[in-house]
Amino acid sequence: MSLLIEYLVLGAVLFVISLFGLIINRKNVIALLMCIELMLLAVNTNFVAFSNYYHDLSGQIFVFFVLAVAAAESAIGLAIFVLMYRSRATVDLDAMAELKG
Amino acid sequence: MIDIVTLVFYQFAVILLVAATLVVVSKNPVKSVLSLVLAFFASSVLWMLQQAEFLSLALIFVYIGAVMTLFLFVVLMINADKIPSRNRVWAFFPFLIAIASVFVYAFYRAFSPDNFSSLQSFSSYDGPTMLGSAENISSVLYTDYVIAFELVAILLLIAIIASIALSKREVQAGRIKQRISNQVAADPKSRIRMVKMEAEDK
Repeated sequence: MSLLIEYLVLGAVLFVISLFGLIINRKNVIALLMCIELMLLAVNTNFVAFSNYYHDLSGQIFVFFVLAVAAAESAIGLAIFVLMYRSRATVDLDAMAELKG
Repeated sequence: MIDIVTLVFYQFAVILLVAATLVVVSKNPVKSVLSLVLAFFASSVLWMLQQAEFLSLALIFVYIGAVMTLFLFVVLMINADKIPSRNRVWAFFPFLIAIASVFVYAFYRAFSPDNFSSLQSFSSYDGPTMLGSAENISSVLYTDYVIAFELVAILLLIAIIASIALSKREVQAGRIKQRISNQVAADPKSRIRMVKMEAEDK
């Protein structure tokens, strides 16, 4: 048995949890980065489940590239976060409002 | 009789969802990062059940070993009392209901089992080697996907350079700094002045 439906439901529930985390943690930059990591994990779980289901390695290769890009993204995101904390002494995203967006 | 793969799947799925919820709702960021480590570990077990052997080990080594440690260092660097408090969490509850209902409807349409029944499904353990073993992954990665692989290597190099350039401190005015060019260009004649004088008695 391949448990495909169970994996898809699990990935979608994980995605909804992290999306809710993005909504309620809008002020805290580091919580936003962690929620994005969780979202990528949910998407990668779907890729892995489908890769096993079709017995095709392309899905796992895609997960490999997503992991590499996510590592680069979190490294640069944390560097920007450190820079923001150094100049503003806060992690509040509302403090970054120069552009009045 | 429930088989062992399904049993392990449900155990670690529950662990994953509980850990993800703790990441989202925890007020202390250190607890969030540690819950995220637990979530990554549980999902690496789930990936291993789907024959993604190399990827689940890479998730532990690369993610828990490197990225989560980086997160933990950054979290420990900041003051915990500078974390802005979340007010009115329950004001977002209608958003959650709306998002969840949209997703449930999408599941109902997309994930119904008769959409997938025409395809043959494979066992979770159908042979001596896994589908996603390091050998199988690398034999595809170094042939069909070699250009993308090299591009990812360049991307990681750019990320290293960018994060160093972003977090490097500028030299401030009052700070003592070694100036190598001045040291190399130093002339002994400008440092020591030889004075001719008569010998003196004690």
